[in-house]
Amino acid sequence: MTGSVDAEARDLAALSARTRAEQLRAEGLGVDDLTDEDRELFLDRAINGLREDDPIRSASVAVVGWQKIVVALLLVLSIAGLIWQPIRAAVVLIAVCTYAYVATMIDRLLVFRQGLAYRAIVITDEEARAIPDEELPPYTILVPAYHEPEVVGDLLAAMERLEYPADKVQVLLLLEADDEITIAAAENYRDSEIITIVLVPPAEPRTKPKACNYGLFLATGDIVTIYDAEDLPEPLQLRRAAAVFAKLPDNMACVQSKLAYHNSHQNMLTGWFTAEYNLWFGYLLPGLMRSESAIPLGGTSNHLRRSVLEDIGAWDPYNVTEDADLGLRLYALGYRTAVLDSTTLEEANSDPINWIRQRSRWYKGYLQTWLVHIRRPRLMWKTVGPRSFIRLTLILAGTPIIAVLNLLFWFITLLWFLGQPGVVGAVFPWYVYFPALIALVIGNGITLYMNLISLREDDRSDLIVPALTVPAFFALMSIAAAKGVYQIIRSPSYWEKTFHGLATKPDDEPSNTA
Amino acid sequence: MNRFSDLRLKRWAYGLAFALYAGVAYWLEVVHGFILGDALARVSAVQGVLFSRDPHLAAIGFIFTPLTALAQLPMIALSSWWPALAERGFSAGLMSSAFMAGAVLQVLSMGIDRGLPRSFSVTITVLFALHPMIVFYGANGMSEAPFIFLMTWAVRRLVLWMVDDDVHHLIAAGAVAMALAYLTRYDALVCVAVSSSVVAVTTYLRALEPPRKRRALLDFIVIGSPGILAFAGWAIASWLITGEAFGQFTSQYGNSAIVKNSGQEGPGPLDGFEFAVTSISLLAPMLIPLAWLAIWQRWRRPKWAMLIPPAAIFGSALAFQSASYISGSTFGFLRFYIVAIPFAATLALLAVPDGEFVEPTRRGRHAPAPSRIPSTRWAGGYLPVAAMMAVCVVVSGWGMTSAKYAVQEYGLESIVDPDPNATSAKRQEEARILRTFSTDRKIAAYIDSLNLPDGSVVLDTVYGFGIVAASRRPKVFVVPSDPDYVRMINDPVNRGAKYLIAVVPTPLWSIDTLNKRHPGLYGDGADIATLDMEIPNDGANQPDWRLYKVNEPVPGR
Repeated sequence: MTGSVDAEARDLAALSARTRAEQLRAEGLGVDDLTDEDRELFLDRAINGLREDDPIRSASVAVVGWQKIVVALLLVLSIAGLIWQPIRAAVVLIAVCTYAYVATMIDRLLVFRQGLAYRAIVITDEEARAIPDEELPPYTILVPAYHEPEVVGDLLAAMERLEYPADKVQVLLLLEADDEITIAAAENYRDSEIITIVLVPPAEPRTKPKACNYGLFLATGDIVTIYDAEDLPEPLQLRRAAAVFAKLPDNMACVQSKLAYHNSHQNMLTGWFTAEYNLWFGYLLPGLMRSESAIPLGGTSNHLRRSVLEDIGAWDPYNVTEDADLGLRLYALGYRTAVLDSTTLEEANSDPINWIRQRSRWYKGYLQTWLVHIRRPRLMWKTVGPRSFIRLTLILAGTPIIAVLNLLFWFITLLWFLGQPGVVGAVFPWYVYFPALIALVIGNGITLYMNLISLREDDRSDLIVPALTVPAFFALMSIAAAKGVYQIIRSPSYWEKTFHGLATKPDDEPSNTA
Repeated sequence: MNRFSDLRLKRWAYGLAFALYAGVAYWLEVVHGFILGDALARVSAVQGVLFSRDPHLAAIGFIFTPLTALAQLPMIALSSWWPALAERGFSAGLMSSAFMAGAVLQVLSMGIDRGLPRSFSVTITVLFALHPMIVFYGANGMSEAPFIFLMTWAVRRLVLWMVDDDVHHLIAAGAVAMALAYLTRYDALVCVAVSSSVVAVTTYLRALEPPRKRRALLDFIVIGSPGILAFAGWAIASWLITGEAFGQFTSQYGNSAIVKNSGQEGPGPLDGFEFAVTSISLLAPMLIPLAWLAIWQRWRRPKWAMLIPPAAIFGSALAFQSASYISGSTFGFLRFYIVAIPFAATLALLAVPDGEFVEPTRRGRHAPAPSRIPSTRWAGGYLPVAAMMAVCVVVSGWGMTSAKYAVQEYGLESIVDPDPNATSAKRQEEARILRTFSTDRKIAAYIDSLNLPDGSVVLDTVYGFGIVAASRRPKVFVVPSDPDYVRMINDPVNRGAKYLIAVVPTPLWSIDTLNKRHPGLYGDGADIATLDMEIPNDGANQPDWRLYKVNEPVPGR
């Protein structure tokens, strides 16, 4: 009966960590008052909380038993088919890919349509400033950083710009305890009243969600949000988010702000990336909100109710896109996310190699998240309904797969143009050929067109060239997706770090995104 | 008060208009067997896609852009249950009915969008819908119906865009209406260019902060790129499949070649201009007065810019057709000027004061500021405007009987107002027009009665499409879209052909491939076939045929 003893111990640990955190808050104690036992307890819960309490929602195991069987079965079937009836099997495989591609495309278009018609939630400056200070909820801003000594100063400046009563904001700079250079840089700002430095004891996995989970035990705010150290949130964002929370029902557990890039003109890559973010946060996320679908959260600027976060196990340290996963977990448990019209400026990745690392992590994380959330397919289907179920599959699994397929389809097209080999004709009977043609021409065309529309609506005509050349960006995406898919097979939890600080200062940029 | 909501009104308008046009189509095509050649040719092409010996989409043909034919695919698919859909070309009539009813819906919506008195919007819509040219082209299966629908839709959305800057209008007009319009008719390319320029210039002028040029360029791309993509896509597809990117202009089957073969000279600038102006006046005699009234009403008023989209889009379509005719590259057909009718209806709706506009889905940031100045000089005008529209209807009814201006339409007189005792030359010609494809149907019936195996009758559909369309067994025919057509006409004797259908090789019917491959075939069988039957044509402007029985192959060869 060791199982139940273990379970009891886990429950105790969960209870004691949360109780201890409450006790600290009640007594007004902070990070400097932590004992070694506290640190150990919090760290253990930060790493193991979700996977012990709710293992089926944790990505610590990439695929569970039945999923392994299904994946193996599909593989065996495909290989056997390709050996036994190569052409027929290829037709089936290509047909499945094509239909998945077309479905993902159509779904994206539907989401965009809703997003274009209904916009994100707007809280005017007047409304935001009208809330009396004493009615504003206490806020905690978590800022995880790793090997980023140069951005600490930026963070301080960004935090100072926020229009929120200083006594109601707690900024926790979460650093790995062995990250000496960043700690050294942060020490220069020790006197700052704004930032509290939290050293997270070194332990695997060294991920952002683990740091955030640890920081959450020290958070005193009712609302918790995450920024990257180099982020520039719009100064009224916290007030606007507070207004949304006050206005909307209690199951609205999260408010996602828009992310945009300040270095859109640094090079072509940052231009593409900016246009893509414009579309995603400005139109697709509002469309998802409007259609009551699950929203994969962006990496930062999501404002969350702390009580809900604690109830559902906070971030999954084993998921490499813990933000997307959290959005889905919230949704599956009946909570909703609002999309707020307030922008946080970030730095777009300007280096192709670095960008591919980052993007492959995102794709991998999407797949990881999808695999986690379909572990109980019938339950999911029942709780969120068929439409949301299909949509979350199309977004999480469809996005990376479509990116890989693009590469494949382009390759086949090129092959066809070069030599018209008979085998290509054979694996594309008309019921596959026409959807594939539509996917290739109209599908890519529509994506490009959605980009153009979002730029027009945001008055970002400065990005015309990146918008028109976006197929080259698709090619990069394909590479990243192929890498991501490969990685989820080889090392599902490995976290590819994105390097920050490669951009020039935002002041050089036109500020019409704000 | 508004028991009958706008949406219900629109649905009823569409339903009634469709029923009317489909009814007329049935009467013309199924009852009287009257259909224009271009419409029947498309029916035959669609039949080739689905029911030829080698069904493939490319059989749709590349001389015309494909929408008019593609829209008929589902109906032709049903033709095995209801043969009249293909045999009599009724699928074309249903296609044009659906599109023309859409045009009626757009005209009505233009009134509703701007909150005009319902009685007025309905009056103008009814006058538009009952205009005899609109009824005929709603029923006769030609590409005019989809073209009018798409043009009117684009104009309607751009009129609204002028006042609310909603991007949805640019999407509907550019990505959907204009792109599809190009896939309906080549001339739409001019409208794509003009409307995109109008949008770009408007944006440049009304959004004053920089970057003005880039912003204007972006709007140009948003509205224009789908049309340009349609243009490029179609050209590439044509080139890949036929080797010619612009078959309409370069192919021997295209309009340019047909005009040349018909021995027509260009009309000369003065006569050509006269013809164009007369045609427009016959279709919409009140177009100019309506335009003056609309301009006078909105002179120096806010929202005057709503007059620009109809003027630019319909105007450029009319100007382009006039120029093509004057330069001798197209025919003098009344139908080429048909957009004068929706143009008049649009101006009629714009010549009266605005009511309350519908709320835009997403007002753009550069929409002109609201104004309290009344939208028109005169708060009335409903009655004279409606009267002018009514005049158009009556005059056109008369104009369509003109054998000079309404070459393709005047034959209708003998259906609408039959006079069995008439002996005038015009009436007799009308009777021949009505019989246009009756000979083709007889040939088809005869071939069907022979119970021949598939692939045994060789025919070039360039003139013989009516025969294949009328046949219940299209697979019997070997046609140019079949992959073995060339091999078959090279050696019909040894490839199993039983019959060749030869067309009289006068200059007008000179591009038939059978005659080209076997000169003298029509005359004496060119040593490969023996005359089986001589088939003089009793339809107007149709060729005589001869049916040749292919000689038996010499044994041992």
